[in-house]
Amino acid sequence: MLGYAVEMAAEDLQPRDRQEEREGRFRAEAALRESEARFHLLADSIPQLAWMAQPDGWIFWYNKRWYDYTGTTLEDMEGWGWRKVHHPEHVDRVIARIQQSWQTGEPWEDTFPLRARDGGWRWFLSRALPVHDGEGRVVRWFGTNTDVTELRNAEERQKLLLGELNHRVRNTLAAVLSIASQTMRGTRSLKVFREKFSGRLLALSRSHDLLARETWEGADLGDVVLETLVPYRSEQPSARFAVSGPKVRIGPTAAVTLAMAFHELSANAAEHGALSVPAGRIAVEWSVDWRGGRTPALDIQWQESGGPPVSPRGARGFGSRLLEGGLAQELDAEVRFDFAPAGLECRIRLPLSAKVAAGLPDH
Amino acid sequence: MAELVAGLRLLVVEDEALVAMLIEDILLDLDCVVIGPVGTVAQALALLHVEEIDGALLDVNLGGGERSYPVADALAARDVPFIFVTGYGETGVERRYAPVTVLQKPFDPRSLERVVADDLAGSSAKPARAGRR
Repeated sequence: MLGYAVEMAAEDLQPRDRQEEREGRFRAEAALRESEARFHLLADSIPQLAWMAQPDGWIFWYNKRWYDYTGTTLEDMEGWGWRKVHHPEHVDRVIARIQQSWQTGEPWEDTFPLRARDGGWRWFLSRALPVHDGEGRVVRWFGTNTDVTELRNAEERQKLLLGELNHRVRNTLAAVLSIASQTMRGTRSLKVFREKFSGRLLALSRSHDLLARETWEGADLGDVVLETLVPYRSEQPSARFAVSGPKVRIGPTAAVTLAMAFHELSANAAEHGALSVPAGRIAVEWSVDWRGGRTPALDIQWQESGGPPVSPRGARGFGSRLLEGGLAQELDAEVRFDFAPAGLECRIRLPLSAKVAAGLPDH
Repeated sequence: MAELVAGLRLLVVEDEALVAMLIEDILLDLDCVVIGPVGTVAQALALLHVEEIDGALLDVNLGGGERSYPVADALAARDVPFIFVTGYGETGVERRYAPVTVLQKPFDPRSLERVVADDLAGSSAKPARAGRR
Protein backbone atom coordinates (compact mmCIF):
# COMPACT_ATOMS: atom_id res chain seq x y z
CA MET A 1 0.00 0.00 0.00
CA LEU A 2 2.70 2.43 1.07
CA GLY A 3 4.84 1.66 -1.96
CA TYR A 4 1.93 2.29 -4.21
CA ALA A 5 1.13 5.58 -2.58
CA VAL A 6 4.72 6.75 -3.01
CA GLU A 7 4.70 5.65 -6.61
CA MET A 8 1.51 7.55 -7.16
CA ALA A 9 2.90 10.64 -5.55
CA ALA A 10 5.97 10.49 -7.74
CA GLU A 11 3.81 10.12 -10.80
CA ASP A 12 1.84 13.15 -9.71
CA LEU A 13 4.91 15.36 -9.78
CA GLN A 14 5.26 17.60 -12.74
CA PRO A 15 8.53 17.51 -14.70
CA ARG A 16 9.52 20.93 -13.32
CA ASP A 17 8.98 19.69 -9.79
CA ARG A 18 11.18 16.64 -10.46
CA GLN A 19 13.86 18.89 -11.77
CA GLU A 20 13.70 20.99 -8.59
CA GLU A 21 13.70 17.90 -6.44
CA ARG A 22 16.82 16.56 -8.20
CA GLU A 23 18.54 19.89 -7.84
CA GLY A 24 17.56 20.04 -4.18
CA ARG A 25 18.97 16.59 -3.54
CA PHE A 26 22.10 17.53 -5.40
CA ARG A 27 22.49 20.70 -3.33
CA ALA A 28 21.94 18.79 -0.12
CA GLU A 29 24.55 16.22 -1.11
CA ALA A 30 26.96 18.95 -2.10
CA ALA A 31 26.35 20.70 1.18
CA LEU A 32 26.97 17.45 3.04
CA ARG A 33 30.15 16.82 1.07
CA GLU A 34 31.28 20.34 1.75
CA SER A 35 30.48 20.02 5.42
CA GLU A 36 32.37 16.75 5.57
CA ALA A 37 35.32 18.27 3.75
CA ARG A 38 35.24 21.18 6.18
CA PHE A 39 35.11 18.73 9.09
CA HIS A 40 38.05 16.72 7.77
CA LEU A 41 40.03 19.86 7.17
CA LEU A 42 39.30 20.92 10.73
CA ALA A 43 39.94 17.44 12.12
CA ASP A 44 43.26 17.20 10.30
CA SER A 45 44.38 20.69 11.21
CA ILE A 46 43.97 20.43 14.98
CA PRO A 47 47.17 19.48 16.78
CA GLN A 48 45.48 16.47 18.42
CA LEU A 49 44.95 12.96 17.20
CA ALA A 50 41.18 12.56 16.75
CA TRP A 51 38.75 9.72 16.14
CA MET A 52 35.09 8.76 16.08
CA ALA A 53 33.43 5.63 17.41
CA GLN A 54 30.01 4.03 17.24
CA PRO A 55 27.98 3.98 20.48
CA ASP A 56 29.47 0.56 21.36
CA GLY A 57 33.03 1.87 20.98
CA TRP A 58 33.77 0.53 17.50
CA ILE A 59 36.10 3.14 16.04
CA PHE A 60 35.38 3.83 12.37
CA TRP A 61 37.36 6.98 11.68
CA TYR A 62 40.69 8.55 12.65
CA ASN A 63 42.10 11.90 11.54
CA LYS A 64 45.25 12.14 9.43
CA ARG A 65 47.42 12.97 12.43
CA TRP A 66 46.59 9.65 14.01
CA TYR A 67 47.89 7.79 10.96
CA ASP A 68 50.87 10.11 10.63
CA TYR A 69 51.84 9.56 14.27
CA THR A 70 51.18 5.83 14.59
CA GLY A 71 52.12 4.86 11.05
CA THR A 72 49.02 2.67 10.80
CA THR A 73 46.06 2.37 8.43
CA LEU A 74 42.31 2.32 9.03
CA GLU A 75 42.39 -1.43 8.36
CA ASP A 76 44.82 -1.96 11.26
CA MET A 77 43.00 0.38 13.54
CA GLU A 78 39.34 -0.12 12.80
CA GLY A 79 37.19 -1.31 15.70
CA TRP A 80 39.47 -2.38 18.54
CA GLY A 81 42.69 -2.30 16.55
CA TRP A 82 43.92 0.71 18.54
CA ARG A 83 45.09 -1.65 21.29
CA LYS A 84 48.07 -2.46 19.09
CA VAL A 85 49.59 0.98 19.64
CA HIS A 86 49.03 0.94 23.40
CA HIS A 87 51.69 0.18 25.99
CA PRO A 88 51.37 -3.31 27.53
CA GLU A 89 51.63 -1.83 31.02
CA HIS A 90 48.71 0.51 30.44
CA VAL A 91 46.42 -1.15 27.92
CA ASP A 92 44.34 -3.15 30.44
CA ARG A 93 43.54 -0.10 32.50
CA VAL A 94 42.76 1.94 29.41
CA ILE A 95 40.34 -0.72 28.11
CA ALA A 96 38.62 -1.10 31.49
CA ARG A 97 38.06 2.62 31.80
CA ILE A 98 36.96 3.30 28.25
CA GLN A 99 34.50 0.39 28.34
CA GLN A 100 32.95 1.88 31.42
CA SER A 101 32.29 5.04 29.41
CA TRP A 102 30.89 3.10 26.42
CA GLN A 103 28.45 1.45 28.83
CA THR A 104 27.46 4.47 30.92
CA GLY A 105 27.71 7.17 28.27
CA GLU A 106 29.86 9.28 30.59
CA PRO A 107 32.68 11.37 29.11
CA TRP A 108 36.05 9.54 29.12
CA GLU A 109 39.46 10.81 30.15
CA ASP A 110 42.76 9.00 30.57
CA THR A 111 46.50 9.57 30.12
CA PHE A 112 48.72 6.90 28.57
CA PRO A 113 51.59 6.34 26.16
CA LEU A 114 50.98 5.61 22.46
CA ARG A 115 53.53 4.06 20.17
CA ALA A 116 54.85 6.25 17.37
CA ARG A 117 55.65 4.95 13.90
CA ASP A 118 59.38 4.89 14.83
CA GLY A 119 58.64 2.62 17.81
CA GLY A 120 59.09 5.38 20.42
CA TRP A 121 56.45 6.26 22.98
CA ARG A 122 54.83 9.57 23.75
CA TRP A 123 52.26 10.42 26.42
CA PHE A 124 48.75 11.53 25.49
CA LEU A 125 45.96 13.06 27.50
CA SER A 126 42.89 11.52 25.91
CA ARG A 127 39.26 12.56 26.08
CA ALA A 128 36.06 11.37 24.42
CA LEU A 129 32.60 12.94 24.50
CA PRO A 130 29.35 11.25 23.45
CA VAL A 131 27.29 12.86 20.68
CA HIS A 132 23.55 12.55 21.42
CA ASP A 133 20.52 12.48 19.12
CA GLY A 134 17.33 14.44 19.77
CA GLU A 135 16.14 11.82 22.23
CA GLY A 136 19.31 11.76 24.28
CA ARG A 137 20.67 8.48 22.86
CA VAL A 138 24.40 8.25 22.16
CA VAL A 139 24.83 8.12 18.40
CA ARG A 140 28.60 8.32 18.28
CA TRP A 141 31.69 9.24 20.29
CA PHE A 142 34.18 11.92 19.37
CA GLY A 143 37.62 11.52 20.90
CA THR A 144 40.98 13.30 20.94
CA ASN A 145 44.50 12.45 22.13
CA THR A 146 46.67 15.41 23.12
CA ASP A 147 50.44 14.96 23.29
CA VAL A 148 51.50 15.90 26.85
CA THR A 149 55.00 14.38 26.76
CA GLU A 150 56.81 17.72 27.09
CA LEU A 151 54.57 18.76 29.94
CA ARG A 152 55.20 15.49 31.75
CA ASN A 153 58.95 15.77 31.18
CA ALA A 154 58.94 19.30 32.53
CA GLU A 155 57.02 18.13 35.59
CA GLU A 156 59.48 15.27 36.08
CA ARG A 157 62.41 17.65 35.79
CA GLN A 158 60.81 20.01 38.27
CA LYS A 159 60.20 17.18 40.74
CA LEU A 160 63.79 16.05 40.35
CA LEU A 161 65.10 19.58 40.83
CA LEU A 162 62.98 20.13 43.93
CA GLY A 163 64.22 16.82 45.35
CA GLU A 164 67.83 17.85 44.66
CA LEU A 165 67.26 21.27 46.17
CA ASN A 166 65.73 19.73 49.27
CA HIS A 167 68.68 17.37 49.57
CA ARG A 168 71.13 20.22 49.17
CA VAL A 169 69.38 22.37 51.76
CA ARG A 170 69.34 19.48 54.23
CA ASN A 171 73.02 18.75 53.69
CA THR A 172 73.88 22.41 54.01
CA LEU A 173 71.94 22.68 57.26
CA ALA A 174 73.80 19.63 58.55
CA ALA A 175 77.06 21.33 57.58
CA VAL A 176 76.00 24.53 59.37
CA LEU A 177 75.12 22.49 62.45
CA SER A 178 78.57 20.94 62.27
CA ILE A 179 80.30 24.31 61.92
CA ALA A 180 78.32 25.69 64.88
CA SER A 181 79.05 22.68 67.03
CA GLN A 182 82.78 22.71 66.28
CA THR A 183 83.12 26.46 66.63
CA MET A 184 81.48 26.16 70.03
CA ARG A 185 83.93 23.51 71.12
CA GLY A 186 86.91 25.68 70.35
CA THR A 187 85.79 28.99 71.85
CA ARG A 188 85.05 30.17 75.32
CA SER A 189 83.61 33.63 74.72
CA LEU A 190 80.42 34.41 72.90
CA LYS A 191 82.09 37.29 71.08
CA VAL A 192 84.76 35.07 69.59
CA PHE A 193 82.16 32.47 68.73
CA ARG A 194 80.08 35.05 66.88
CA GLU A 195 83.07 36.28 64.88
CA LYS A 196 84.34 32.85 63.93
CA PHE A 197 80.94 31.35 63.27
CA SER A 198 79.75 34.17 61.03
CA GLY A 199 83.07 34.16 59.17
CA ARG A 200 82.69 30.46 58.44
CA LEU A 201 79.04 30.76 57.53
CA LEU A 202 79.79 33.61 55.13
CA ALA A 203 82.59 31.59 53.54
CA LEU A 204 80.14 28.72 53.04
CA SER A 205 77.62 31.14 51.58
CA ARG A 206 80.15 32.63 49.13
CA SER A 207 81.12 29.19 47.92
CA HIS A 208 77.43 28.51 47.28
CA ASP A 209 77.11 31.78 45.36
CA LEU A 210 80.02 30.73 43.21
CA LEU A 211 78.45 27.35 42.46
CA ALA A 212 74.99 28.80 41.89
CA ARG A 213 76.44 30.90 39.08
CA GLU A 214 77.15 27.70 37.19
CA THR A 215 74.01 25.79 38.20
CA TRP A 216 75.98 23.76 40.73
CA GLU A 217 78.03 21.92 38.16
CA GLY A 218 81.36 23.06 39.47
CA ALA A 219 83.64 26.03 39.93
CA ASP A 220 87.04 27.22 38.83
CA LEU A 221 89.72 26.60 41.46
CA GLY A 222 91.04 30.15 40.93
CA ASP A 223 87.59 31.58 41.65
CA VAL A 224 87.28 29.44 44.77
CA VAL A 225 90.59 30.85 46.08
CA LEU A 226 89.79 34.45 45.14
CA GLU A 227 86.32 34.21 46.63
CA THR A 228 87.70 33.11 50.00
CA LEU A 229 90.12 36.03 50.02
CA VAL A 230 87.37 38.58 49.30
CA PRO A 231 86.90 39.74 52.92
CA TYR A 232 90.63 40.37 53.21
CA ARG A 233 91.20 41.79 49.75
CA SER A 234 88.70 44.57 50.37
CA GLU A 235 90.65 45.73 53.41
CA GLN A 236 94.15 45.17 52.16
CA PRO A 237 95.96 46.31 49.04
CA SER A 238 95.58 43.50 46.51
CA ALA A 239 99.33 43.49 45.88
CA ARG A 240 99.53 41.36 49.00
CA PHE A 241 97.94 38.45 47.20
CA ALA A 242 99.39 36.43 44.37
CA VAL A 243 97.04 33.79 43.03
CA SER A 244 98.13 31.73 40.06
CA GLY A 245 97.66 28.35 38.44
CA PRO A 246 96.13 26.63 35.43
CA LYS A 247 92.40 26.48 34.89
CA VAL A 248 91.05 23.56 36.91
CA ARG A 249 87.35 22.85 37.32
CA ILE A 250 86.33 21.48 40.70
CA GLY A 251 83.14 19.53 41.43
CA PRO A 252 80.54 21.12 43.74
CA THR A 253 81.17 19.18 46.96
CA ALA A 254 84.94 19.45 46.64
CA ALA A 255 84.63 23.17 45.86
CA VAL A 256 82.71 23.80 49.10
CA THR A 257 85.23 21.85 51.19
CA LEU A 258 88.21 23.57 49.55
CA ALA A 259 86.56 26.97 50.01
CA MET A 260 86.11 26.22 53.71
CA ALA A 261 89.74 25.10 53.94
CA PHE A 262 91.02 28.31 52.28
CA HIS A 263 88.78 30.31 54.57
CA GLU A 264 90.39 28.69 57.60
CA LEU A 265 93.86 29.42 56.23
CA SER A 266 92.95 33.08 55.55
CA ALA A 267 91.27 33.55 58.92
CA ASN A 268 94.31 32.06 60.61
CA ALA A 269 96.57 34.37 58.60
CA ALA A 270 94.48 37.36 59.68
CA GLU A 271 94.70 36.35 63.31
CA HIS A 272 98.27 35.08 63.65
CA GLY A 273 99.97 35.13 60.24
CA ALA A 274 100.79 37.26 57.24
CA LEU A 275 97.49 39.16 57.22
CA SER A 276 97.97 40.31 60.81
CA VAL A 277 100.67 42.84 59.81
CA PRO A 278 100.67 45.38 56.96
CA ALA A 279 103.76 43.95 55.24
CA GLY A 280 102.56 40.33 55.08
CA ARG A 281 101.91 38.60 51.79
CA ILE A 282 100.12 35.46 50.67
CA ALA A 283 100.86 33.46 47.55
CA VAL A 284 98.55 30.68 46.41
CA GLU A 285 99.84 28.59 43.55
CA TRP A 286 98.74 25.34 42.05
CA SER A 287 99.77 22.99 39.30
CA VAL A 288 98.59 19.70 37.84
CA ASP A 289 100.93 16.74 38.02
CA TRP A 290 100.28 14.21 35.24
CA ARG A 291 103.10 11.84 36.14
CA GLY A 292 101.19 9.62 38.55
CA GLY A 293 99.39 7.47 35.97
CA ARG A 294 95.80 7.82 34.88
CA THR A 295 94.55 10.19 37.57
CA PRO A 296 96.46 13.47 37.62
CA ALA A 297 97.19 15.11 40.95
CA LEU A 298 96.55 18.68 41.92
CA ASP A 299 99.29 20.37 43.98
CA ILE A 300 98.23 23.47 45.86
CA GLN A 301 100.63 25.59 47.81
CA TRP A 302 99.65 28.26 50.31
CA GLN A 303 102.66 30.35 51.24
CA GLU A 304 102.67 33.20 53.73
CA SER A 305 105.54 35.65 54.04
CA GLY A 306 106.37 38.89 55.78
CA GLY A 307 104.27 38.05 58.81
CA PRO A 308 105.30 37.72 62.43
CA PRO A 309 107.56 34.78 63.28
CA VAL A 310 105.65 31.54 63.11
CA SER A 311 105.55 28.92 65.79
CA PRO A 312 103.62 25.68 65.65
CA ARG A 313 100.52 25.74 67.81
CA GLY A 314 99.63 22.77 69.91
CA ALA A 315 95.86 22.69 70.02
CA ARG A 316 94.06 21.46 66.89
CA GLY A 317 91.25 23.80 66.02
CA PHE A 318 88.47 23.43 63.49
CA GLY A 319 90.72 24.71 60.71
CA SER A 320 93.54 22.21 61.09
CA ARG A 321 91.03 19.43 61.64
CA LEU A 322 89.20 20.37 58.46
CA LEU A 323 92.43 20.56 56.49
CA GLU A 324 94.22 17.53 57.86
CA GLY A 325 91.19 15.35 58.57
CA GLY A 326 88.35 16.57 56.38
CA LEU A 327 90.27 17.19 53.17
CA ALA A 328 92.13 13.94 53.60
CA GLN A 329 88.94 11.99 54.13
CA GLU A 330 86.67 13.64 51.59
CA LEU A 331 89.12 14.40 48.81
CA ASP A 332 91.75 11.78 49.54
CA ALA A 333 94.21 14.66 50.00
CA GLU A 334 97.64 14.76 51.59
CA VAL A 335 98.02 17.94 53.62
CA ARG A 336 101.34 19.11 55.02
CA PHE A 337 101.97 22.13 57.21
CA ASP A 338 105.37 23.71 57.47
CA PHE A 339 105.60 26.21 60.30
CA ALA A 340 108.68 27.88 58.83
CA PRO A 341 109.72 31.05 60.73
CA ALA A 342 109.38 33.13 57.54
CA GLY A 343 105.74 32.22 57.13
CA LEU A 344 103.29 29.35 57.27
CA GLU A 345 103.33 27.02 54.34
CA CYS A 346 100.57 24.57 53.57
CA ARG A 347 100.84 22.04 50.77
CA ILE A 348 97.79 20.16 49.60
CA ARG A 349 98.07 17.32 47.11
CA LEU A 350 94.91 15.66 45.93
CA PRO A 351 94.03 13.28 43.11
CA LEU A 352 91.88 14.90 40.42
CA SER A 353 89.44 12.03 40.55
CA ALA A 354 85.98 12.21 38.98
CA LYS A 355 84.66 13.37 42.33
CA VAL A 356 87.08 16.26 42.70
CA ALA A 357 87.40 17.51 39.15
CA ALA A 358 84.45 18.78 37.16
CA GLY A 359 86.71 19.09 34.14
CA LEU A 360 90.41 18.61 33.60
CA PRO A 361 92.79 21.18 32.17
CA ASP A 362 94.45 20.46 28.84
CA HIS A 363 97.26 18.01 29.12
CA MET B 1 72.65 4.67 77.19
CA ALA B 2 76.33 5.51 77.57
CA GLU B 3 77.28 2.08 78.92
CA LEU B 4 75.42 0.42 76.05
CA VAL B 5 77.31 2.21 73.34
CA ALA B 6 80.71 2.98 74.90
CA GLY B 7 83.49 1.12 73.16
CA LEU B 8 81.42 0.32 70.04
CA ARG B 9 83.55 0.35 66.91
CA LEU B 10 81.44 2.25 64.36
CA LEU B 11 82.20 2.77 60.70
CA VAL B 12 81.23 6.21 59.37
CA VAL B 13 80.71 6.58 55.63
CA GLU B 14 79.99 10.21 54.70
CA ASP B 15 81.42 12.13 51.78
CA GLU B 16 80.92 15.65 53.07
CA ALA B 17 83.76 16.46 55.42
CA LEU B 18 81.81 18.94 57.54
CA VAL B 19 78.98 16.49 58.21
CA ALA B 20 81.43 13.65 58.82
CA MET B 21 83.17 15.74 61.47
CA LEU B 22 79.90 16.34 63.30
CA ILE B 23 79.02 12.63 63.32
CA GLU B 24 82.54 11.83 64.48
CA ASP B 25 82.26 14.33 67.35
CA ILE B 26 78.94 12.95 68.55
CA LEU B 27 80.22 9.37 68.45
CA LEU B 28 83.44 10.30 70.25
CA ASP B 29 81.37 12.00 72.95
CA LEU B 30 79.58 8.66 73.38
CA ASP B 31 82.99 7.01 73.83
CA CYS B 32 82.59 5.07 70.62
CA VAL B 33 85.57 4.24 68.44
CA VAL B 34 85.15 5.83 65.00
CA ILE B 35 86.35 3.82 62.01
CA GLY B 36 86.79 6.30 59.19
CA PRO B 37 85.13 8.56 58.34
CA VAL B 38 85.49 7.59 54.69
CA GLY B 39 83.74 9.10 51.71
CA THR B 40 83.72 6.33 49.09
CA VAL B 41 82.47 2.76 48.72
CA ALA B 42 85.99 1.52 47.91
CA GLN B 43 87.47 3.03 51.06
CA ALA B 44 84.63 1.63 53.19
CA LEU B 45 84.94 -1.88 51.74
CA ALA B 46 88.70 -1.77 52.32
CA LEU B 47 88.12 -0.92 55.99
CA LEU B 48 85.65 -3.82 56.32
CA HIS B 49 88.47 -6.20 55.50
CA VAL B 50 90.94 -4.89 58.07
CA GLU B 51 88.84 -3.47 60.90
CA GLU B 52 86.60 -5.06 63.43
CA ILE B 53 83.27 -3.25 63.11
CA ASP B 54 80.26 -3.41 65.41
CA GLY B 55 77.99 -1.18 63.38
CA ALA B 56 77.91 1.47 60.68
CA LEU B 57 76.40 4.84 59.78
CA LEU B 58 76.06 5.19 56.02
CA ASP B 59 75.37 8.34 54.07
CA VAL B 60 73.34 7.14 51.07
CA ASN B 61 74.55 9.56 48.41
CA LEU B 62 78.34 9.74 48.31
CA GLY B 63 78.58 12.27 45.51
CA GLY B 64 79.51 11.73 41.88
CA GLY B 65 76.47 9.43 41.62
CA GLU B 66 77.95 6.87 44.01
CA ARG B 67 75.65 5.28 46.59
CA SER B 68 76.62 3.34 49.70
CA TYR B 69 74.46 0.26 48.96
CA PRO B 70 77.42 -2.07 48.24
CA VAL B 71 78.71 -1.26 51.73
CA ALA B 72 75.24 -1.94 53.19
CA ASP B 73 75.11 -5.33 51.45
CA ALA B 74 78.61 -6.27 52.62
CA LEU B 75 77.64 -5.35 56.19
CA ALA B 76 74.39 -7.31 55.96
CA ALA B 77 76.31 -10.35 54.71
CA ARG B 78 78.55 -10.07 57.80
CA ASP B 79 75.54 -9.57 60.07
CA VAL B 80 76.79 -6.13 61.09
CA PRO B 81 73.96 -3.70 61.89
CA PHE B 82 73.87 -0.36 60.09
CA ILE B 83 71.71 2.71 59.66
CA PHE B 84 71.40 5.23 56.83
CA VAL B 85 71.96 8.97 57.17
CA THR B 86 70.55 10.97 54.27
CA GLY B 87 69.32 14.32 53.13
CA TYR B 88 66.72 12.66 50.92
CA GLY B 89 64.61 11.23 53.74
CA GLU B 90 63.12 7.76 53.69
CA THR B 91 62.07 8.06 50.07
CA GLY B 92 65.75 8.40 49.22
CA VAL B 93 66.58 4.84 50.28
CA GLU B 94 65.93 1.84 48.05
CA ARG B 95 62.85 -0.09 49.09
CA ARG B 96 64.68 -3.34 49.79
CA TYR B 97 66.28 -1.64 52.81
CA ALA B 98 62.88 -0.71 54.25
CA PRO B 99 63.52 -2.17 57.75
CA VAL B 100 66.73 -0.17 58.17
CA THR B 101 66.51 3.00 60.24
CA VAL B 102 66.98 6.20 58.24
CA LEU B 103 68.26 9.28 60.03
CA GLN B 104 67.39 12.49 58.21
CA LYS B 105 69.86 15.31 57.79
CA PRO B 106 70.09 17.66 59.52
CA PHE B 107 69.80 15.66 62.70
CA ASP B 108 69.63 16.46 66.37
CA PRO B 109 72.72 14.99 68.10
CA ARG B 110 70.36 13.28 70.54
CA SER B 111 68.56 11.49 67.71
CA LEU B 112 71.89 10.17 66.51
CA GLU B 113 72.72 8.97 70.01
CA ARG B 114 69.36 7.23 70.28
CA VAL B 115 69.70 5.53 66.91
CA VAL B 116 73.17 4.28 67.83
CA ALA B 117 71.83 2.85 71.07
CA ASP B 118 68.69 1.36 69.51
CA ASP B 119 70.03 0.01 66.25
CA LEU B 120 73.76 -0.43 66.51
CA ALA B 121 74.38 -1.46 70.13
CA GLY B 122 74.19 -5.00 71.43
CA SER B 123 74.20 -8.25 69.55
CA SER B 124 70.48 -9.03 69.92
CA ALA B 125 68.48 -9.24 66.71
CA LYS B 126 67.82 -5.74 65.44
CA PRO B 127 65.81 -4.65 62.44
CA ALA B 128 68.88 -2.88 61.14
CA ARG B 129 70.47 -6.13 60.07
CA ALA B 130 67.63 -7.10 57.79
CA GLY B 131 69.33 -5.50 54.84
CA ARG B 132 67.93 -7.96 52.32
CA ARG B 133 64.60 -9.62 52.00
